[in-house]
Amino acid sequence: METMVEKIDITRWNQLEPKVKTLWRVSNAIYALLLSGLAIIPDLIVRKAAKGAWPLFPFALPLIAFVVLGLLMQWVVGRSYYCYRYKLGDDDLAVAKGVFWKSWRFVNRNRIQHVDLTSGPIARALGLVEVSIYVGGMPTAAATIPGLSQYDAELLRASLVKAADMPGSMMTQQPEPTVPPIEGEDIRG
Amino acid sequence: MVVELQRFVRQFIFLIGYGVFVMVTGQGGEEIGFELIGLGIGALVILPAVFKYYSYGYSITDGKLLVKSGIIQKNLRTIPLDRIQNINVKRDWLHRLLGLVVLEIETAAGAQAEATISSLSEEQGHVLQAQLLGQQARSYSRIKREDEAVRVVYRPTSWELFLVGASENRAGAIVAAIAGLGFFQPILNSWLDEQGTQVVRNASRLGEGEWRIFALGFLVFLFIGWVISIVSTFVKYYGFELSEKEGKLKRVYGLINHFENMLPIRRIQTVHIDQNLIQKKLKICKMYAATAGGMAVQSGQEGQGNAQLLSAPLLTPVLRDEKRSELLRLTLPQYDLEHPDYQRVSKKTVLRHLRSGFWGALFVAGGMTFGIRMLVDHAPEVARRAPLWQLQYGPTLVFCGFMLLSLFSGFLFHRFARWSESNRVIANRLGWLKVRWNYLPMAKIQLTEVTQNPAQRWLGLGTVTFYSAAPSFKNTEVDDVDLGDAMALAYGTHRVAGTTPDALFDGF
Repeated sequence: METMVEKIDITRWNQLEPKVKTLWRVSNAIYALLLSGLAIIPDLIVRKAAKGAWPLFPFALPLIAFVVLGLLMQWVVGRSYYCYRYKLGDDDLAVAKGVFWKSWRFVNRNRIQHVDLTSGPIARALGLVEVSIYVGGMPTAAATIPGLSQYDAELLRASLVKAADMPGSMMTQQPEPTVPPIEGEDIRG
Repeated sequence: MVVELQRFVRQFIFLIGYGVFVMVTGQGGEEIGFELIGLGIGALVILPAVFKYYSYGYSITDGKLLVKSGIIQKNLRTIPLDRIQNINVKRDWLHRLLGLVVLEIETAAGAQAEATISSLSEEQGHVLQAQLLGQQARSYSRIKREDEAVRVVYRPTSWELFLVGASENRAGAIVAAIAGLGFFQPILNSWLDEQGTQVVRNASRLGEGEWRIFALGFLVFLFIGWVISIVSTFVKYYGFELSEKEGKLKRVYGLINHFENMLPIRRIQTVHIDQNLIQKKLKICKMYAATAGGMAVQSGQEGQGNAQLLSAPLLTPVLRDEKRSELLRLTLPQYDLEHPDYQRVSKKTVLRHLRSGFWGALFVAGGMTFGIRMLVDHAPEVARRAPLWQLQYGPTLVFCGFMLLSLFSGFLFHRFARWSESNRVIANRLGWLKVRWNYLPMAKIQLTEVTQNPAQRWLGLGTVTFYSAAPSFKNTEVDDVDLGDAMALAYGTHRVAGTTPDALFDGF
C-alpha cells in the first residue's frame, strides 16, 4: 500500500523559477555583507589591544566572516531551491520548504481570504514575483511562494481567488494574466 | 469627555509627576516657569478631550456600524454588524463613579478592538450592545428584564475563587518575593554591619546567619506574593457570572473595574482547559475559549489592548470539575469532546529529546572546560582553592546531568502527552505538573502544517500544527508522531476542514 509520505512526494511538485536562485544569491550576499560588517568592531578592538602584535592585516576579520558566511549561504541556496516546492490541488494548495528545518503546509482554498503579489527591486529586475496567501485570523501570510514569473503568479492568484469564491459573488470568470508566459509554458497544463 | 480626560491624564502622568517633583523639591525653574508648565499641562490634558468629544460620533445604518473620528484627518470606519465577533462593556472605577461605560467592538481583523466607543451612559451602552448583536432596538427596561431571564451557567462561590487564587500563579509571587528581597537587601546589610561592630564574629557563622535571614525573608515574601495572588483574583473576578441567552455567552465580573462581555457561541474557535496538580486535588480547573476577535483585553490587565496578545482568553477563572462537561457541550455544541480516542506519541520521542538536548549539553560542558583551562593557566592560585574533582570531572558531570534531564523530559513527554483526531475534533492533553487539554474542531482549522527539525528527521518523526483563526491562541500541536502519520493527519484534516459546510459560513 502506498503510504502518505510516498503520496506526498514533493519531488513531483512544482518547482520555482530557476532565476530565484540568482535572487537568493544576491540577497544572501547583501545579508552576508551587512552581517560581516559587524565584525569591524571586534577587529578594531583586537588590533588596538594587540598594539601592532596582531598577525592579520587590517579588516581581515570582516573579510573572513564575509567569505565564510557567503560560501555557507551560497551552498544552502541550491538545497533550498530543491526543497522549496508547491502544488496546486483541486481544492488546496500545498507548500513544502526547508533544508534543515522542514515544513509542509496545506491551505484549503475555501479558507483563503486574499492573495498578495509582491516583488522587490532585485526580483523585479529578474521578472520574479512573490505570492503570499492569507487566511482568516492570522496576521502573517499562511503561505508564501517566492520566485514565480509574473504570468504564473497571476495565474495562481486568479485560480486561488476564484476557487475561494463564495456563492453569489460578483466575480464570475477568471481574469487572464496581464503578461505572456516566459517560454510558452503554462502551469495549467 | 471625562473618560478622554482620564486617558490624557494617564498619558501625561510623567509631566504631572515632574510638576509635583518641582513643587516638592523647589528645584529647577523660576515660579513663572512652573506656572507655565502647569498651564501647558492643563491645556494638553483638556483640549484633546474637548476636540475628541466634538469630533467623535457613531451610528447604525443598514446593518453597519459607522464610527467617525478625527479633527484634521477625518476617519470614518464601517463595520458590518454580522462581522462582529464579540462586544465588551467595560467600566473602571472612574466610569462607575460617573455612571458611564466603554463599548469595545471586536471583529476578526486583528487582536485589538476595532472600535471603541467610550463614555456612553449605562443605558445607551446596553441598548447599543443589543443593537449591535442584531437584536431589535428596544428600551433599556426591556433589556434589563430580559437579562434577568437568562440562564445562569456558572457562578463560582467565593470559596472557589479563593481556591483558584491560592492554588496558582506562583511565578508572579516568586518574582515579587525576589524583587522584595532585592529591595530590602541594603537595609539587611546595614543591619548586619551594625551587629558586626558589636560582636566579633567568625566568617562561617556570619554566612550561616545571612543564609537564615535570607531564607526567612524569602518565605515571608513568598507568603505575601501568595496573599496578593489570592486578593487580586478575588478583586478581579468578584461576582463572576457566566450566563447564556439565545446562543450568546455573557460574562460579568469585577469588584472595582467592572467588565461585561458578550460573545456568540458559534464564533468560538478553540477551547482549552488548564489544571495544575493542586487544582486537580481540589477538583477545580480554568477554562479558556478563543474567538477570531482575540478577546485580548480580557486576560491580564484590562484596557491595555494588544499588550496581552499572546495570553489566552479566559472564559471562566474557575470551574468545578463536575461542571466541565456541561461547559464543553455549551461552547462547542456540535462536537463530542468528552470521548476523545487518545493516542500516544511515538516512543522515539525519548531519543528525540536526548538528541535535542545533546548540543546544548555539549556547548555548556565545552564552555566549562574552556573556562577551567583558562583559570588553571592564568589564575592557578584561584584554581587551587577549588576541589580537584570539580576541575577534573565538572564538565563531564554537567554534560551527564543535562543528558539525564533530557532523558527524563523525554520519558515524561511520552508518558503524559496524548492526542486524538476522533469525532471531527483535534484534541490533545499535555503536561504533568500543569495539565492542559486543547480542543479544536476540524471545521475551524485554517491551515495545517507538518514540520520536522533535524533531530526529528534523524528518527523519521514530525510535528503537526493546526492553525485556527484565533490570533491570541497558541496553535494546537501534535508532537513527535511518525512522519507518515503526521502527513496523513495534516493532509486528511485540512481536507475535512475545507469541505465542512459550517466552516464556510459559520467559521467566523
